[in-house]
Amino acid sequence: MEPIHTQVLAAANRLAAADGTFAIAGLPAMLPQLNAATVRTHVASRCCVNAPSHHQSRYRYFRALRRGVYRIEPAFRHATRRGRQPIASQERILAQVDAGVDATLVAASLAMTPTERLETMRRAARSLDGLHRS
Amino acid sequence: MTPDYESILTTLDDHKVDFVIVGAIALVLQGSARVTRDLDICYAREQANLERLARALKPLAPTLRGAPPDLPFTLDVATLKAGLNFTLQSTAGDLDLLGEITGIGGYAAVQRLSIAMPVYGRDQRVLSLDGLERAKRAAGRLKDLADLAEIREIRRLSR
Repeated sequence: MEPIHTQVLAAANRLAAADGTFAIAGLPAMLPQLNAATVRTHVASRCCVNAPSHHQSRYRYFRALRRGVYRIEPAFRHATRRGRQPIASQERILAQVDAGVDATLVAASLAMTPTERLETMRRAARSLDGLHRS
Repeated sequence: MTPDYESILTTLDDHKVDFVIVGAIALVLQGSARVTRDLDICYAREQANLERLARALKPLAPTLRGAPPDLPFTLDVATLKAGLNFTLQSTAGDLDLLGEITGIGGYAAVQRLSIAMPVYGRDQRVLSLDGLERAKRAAGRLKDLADLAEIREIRRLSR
């Protein structure tokens, strides 16, 4: 089962407006499997970056804007939002970047064992380091 | 410095740390030809695992990457509990500890999307292509989309 804080973050992402803001009052109804007080505590305390100093804040998901209104911090705003967005836009971009993948390099990599892939990459990184130093 | 992945992975395995290799190194292990440096792992946040993780990394003298050198930092259980994601540098190279992966969730969800792979003679859990695709789609940066294109190529060539 997903941890409560990730369930709360996912629900907040579903509830939030485009700018990431949401009203805490609307969240418990989206998480009927959880105790409403637990949900509110996660938003206002456990996962709030500007919670009062005596609160034990552990996850930096939300910022309190005013009474009852929070905003998802940008780093976490996309956690589920992007995951549920139509991916047509990504596919359009992918159609462009597909051409940049060198299939021969990928094929050569696939012919190796995982350890060989890692060691080949390490050697390449070392060569790049040498070039940067020279 | 050239990262010493073997040292990091071996010490984590020796200490029986529950972790999954994620990020660019996972992509390389799956067949990507890209070059990267830092090793990203997603770790279980249970107390016992945090103890094992702190103990395992101690000999590698981890410090916060990019922080002022005089900033006091000790990677112990209390520190791990107080945070979630840590970008570290160590005597064996850069290491990122991630409590969650965007688009997937915490360790349990990441572990479910991982596969066992022999790396330096030991079975390591590595995020699968499906898992990598989910994470890349959720992150959605331009470099992630480039990685998606490579994942597609890996799948095509693996058929």
